[in-house]
Amino acid sequence: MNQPIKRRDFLTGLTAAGAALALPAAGRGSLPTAPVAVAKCNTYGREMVDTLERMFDQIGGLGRLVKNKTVALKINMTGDTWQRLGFHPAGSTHFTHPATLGATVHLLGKAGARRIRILEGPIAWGESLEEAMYNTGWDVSTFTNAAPKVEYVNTNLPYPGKKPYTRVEVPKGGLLFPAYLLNTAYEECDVFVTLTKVKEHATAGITLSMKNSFGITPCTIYGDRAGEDEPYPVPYGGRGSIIHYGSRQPTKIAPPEIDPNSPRQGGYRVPRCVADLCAARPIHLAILDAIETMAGGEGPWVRGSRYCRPGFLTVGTNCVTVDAVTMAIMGFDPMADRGKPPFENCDSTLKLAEDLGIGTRDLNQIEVVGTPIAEARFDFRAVPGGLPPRTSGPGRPS
Amino acid sequence: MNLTPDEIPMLWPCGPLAAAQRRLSEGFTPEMKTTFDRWLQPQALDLLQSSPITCLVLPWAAGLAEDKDQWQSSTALVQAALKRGLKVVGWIDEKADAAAAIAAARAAGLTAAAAHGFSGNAGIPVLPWAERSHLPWDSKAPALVAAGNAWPGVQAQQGGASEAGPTGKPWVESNAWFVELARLRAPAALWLMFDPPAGTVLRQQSYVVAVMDTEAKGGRWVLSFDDNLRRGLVEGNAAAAQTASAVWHTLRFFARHRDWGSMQSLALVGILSDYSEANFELAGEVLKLTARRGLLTRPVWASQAAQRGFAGLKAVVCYDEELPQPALRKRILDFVAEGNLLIAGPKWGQIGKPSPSHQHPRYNIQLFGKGRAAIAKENVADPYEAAIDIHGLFSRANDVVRLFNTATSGGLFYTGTPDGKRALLQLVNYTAGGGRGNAAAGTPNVAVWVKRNYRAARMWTMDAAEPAPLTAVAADSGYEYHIAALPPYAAIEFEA
Repeated sequence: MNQPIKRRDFLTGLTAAGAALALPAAGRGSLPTAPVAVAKCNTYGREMVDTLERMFDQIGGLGRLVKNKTVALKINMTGDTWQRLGFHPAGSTHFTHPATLGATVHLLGKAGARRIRILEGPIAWGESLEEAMYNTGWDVSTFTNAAPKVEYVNTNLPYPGKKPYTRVEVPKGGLLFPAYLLNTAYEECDVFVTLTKVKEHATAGITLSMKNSFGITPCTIYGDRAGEDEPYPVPYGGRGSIIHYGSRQPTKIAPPEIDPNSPRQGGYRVPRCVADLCAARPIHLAILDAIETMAGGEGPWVRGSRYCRPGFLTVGTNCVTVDAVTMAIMGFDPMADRGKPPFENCDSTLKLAEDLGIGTRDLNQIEVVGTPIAEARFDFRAVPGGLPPRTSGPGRPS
Repeated sequence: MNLTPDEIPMLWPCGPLAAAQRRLSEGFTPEMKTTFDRWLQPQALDLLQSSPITCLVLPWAAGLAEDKDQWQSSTALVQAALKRGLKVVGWIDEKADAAAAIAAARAAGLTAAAAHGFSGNAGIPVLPWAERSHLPWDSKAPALVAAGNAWPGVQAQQGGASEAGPTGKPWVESNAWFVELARLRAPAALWLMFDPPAGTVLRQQSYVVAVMDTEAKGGRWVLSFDDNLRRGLVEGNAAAAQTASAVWHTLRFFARHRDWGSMQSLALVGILSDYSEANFELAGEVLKLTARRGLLTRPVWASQAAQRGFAGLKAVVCYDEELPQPALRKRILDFVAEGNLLIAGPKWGQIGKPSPSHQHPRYNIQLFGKGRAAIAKENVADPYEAAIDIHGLFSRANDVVRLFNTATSGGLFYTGTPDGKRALLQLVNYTAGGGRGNAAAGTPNVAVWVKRNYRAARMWTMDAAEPAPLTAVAADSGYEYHIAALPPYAAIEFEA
């Protein structure tokens, strides 16, 4: 299991994310799969950079994926930039850690990426992404200087130019919406990389690589005060009213939801939206950080959330397989469905993604390279100080 | 007895004139008249027995028939107040016959009068009062009295909510920017007149915040209680007494720290203006709204900048309608050439080369010497948008202070001594007690980040007799101080 996979296997995994939807869904065995690299890592220093580089090599190397390409790197900055869990910096709990971001940019650049665009739509943030990063306490120059050409796009704002938003269709018609309007930066890329924290989630059960794509929907169209007819010029609030609760439809330039009579519950809607987005905007590389994180929720606003140090990283080219392996390390069964941890109150995003043919969550179908799951295991529900799982009620919209 | 710069004034609405004035507005009740009558009695001064109040401001003339009744009926109160060592100032409204009212004040033995636009030899000190943009800055009076101020604190929003949503910042009103502006310009003490919002039942903390907002930068609020509180006090209501006690406590705290008022702003962005009537509103709003965003700014009077320059600043904002005089303009350009930033209105035109690496939808970014100039493409009319642009153009990369786990919302005052050996960071939490937070318990787990490495830090709070030492933790190219529960007001003293 510790052998690096062959480059051919790597490429198979790469294309699976995008091409899987053409495959017949004739049982789980036919679903796309790709190896997942797992590594123990306890610090955000040099050890982490070397570990990540080794993990990328284990899944076939970054060069074939990114060389001479424009890479879009979606990070995770959920909640306000000034919010913390206790005194922990956001990067140690609920944001992408700045060190993993710097390391990823560095390694992408080292692998020959022509242009790296860091993308995120910080909540209710109408200014540049760089300013959001400064407000978090990050030194943006460390990212800018980590690779030859690094750019930043606040994807909660319209993309500058003639095409602010791009429509992406959900293959097979979609689960919640048939198509989504995204900031055009999500289209203007050759490779889409997601870099996020390993967390639980009050509404969707887990925040892993797929859930990070929830934040690619622009709040100017899908946000609480989005315009009815035209997108609002700046984002306000989260995606509660339109996506979590379905109390209104998005701005008219975006298609309305498929079934207005479907449940108006976050636990039903958010996982479907996430699966839709991962099918419509396929992820080519998923990087998950659990060196430091939090248990019990996706942000400090979740009651009972607490800091923890699981000390592992996972990497892979199929977002479903990466999330499945990571769930297993977290102490959850990736085959769990609604009613079982961590999906006590929601549908499983992984199962929905399987239904869309994105990838398999069956560990028997997934090759794990590097550290075995059992050795990396860190039971999130066993972190002291937690509260019993909610039995009802919504989480906070993000 | 003469007025001194350290007076702590309080509005003392009483007697027939106060009742007549109140009757002109909505909601007047017979009980209110009773309260005004009771506050006219000398024994009402017992309410001040444990207070730091040193000066009463009485309604004295308003151009109403009750003016003369007021002069006669307040004699006993005035005498009793003077006997207790209190100063008494007669407040003369704009519509009153100021000369006659001042003469009556002198005859009644009042310490001073406050009159709108009055100048001349009155036989007693006359404090000039005016709207903020019309204050006679060079007055020799012991205090300038500014009207037209806001009630500080979180403002109610649509639907009655007092705070923004979980991801928005509360809408905070503050007069602190004006206090700083005035104190830079005027040698006299600054008194602010503002009343509690009509028709609102105010919490104790609302009064405390109003005091903090005014005193933090060295101003004095002419303390003004609402109808319910005044009534409660004379009726011996325990809750009313508790509110008054909290206000006295807050005033005493600031009186003990008068030296803090002499410190100078450590903000790096200066809002340069002549602060004339034409420019006052925009420049003032920019000061207020940048503060609300947590961007540290300070006012810069054009009349002073021509002589003193821009020491300590990294950016100057100049939106005045007219270009500055040549000498000041040269100073500004020199400032930019040294490596600093100018953000200015469109009249500045082309002063440098277009920057190939900076694009902005509303500003042309130009390179000039070692610095940059951001020249607005169109007239700047919206201070809200201007504040956002200033923040982005200057960039949070230049932050010297950041707060975590609390929204700043304007209550962040960073000052220091000219020699750089001491600094003070005052934190006023406008949302405390006004929303969901527990004012008494404080805001949990607040991290205060400062760029500078100080040798020692200690935190003053209202409730502790002595400051508590704070320990710095290196973080993000600066230093953090972790505060387990941040009370509604705290002042961190730093030693370099």
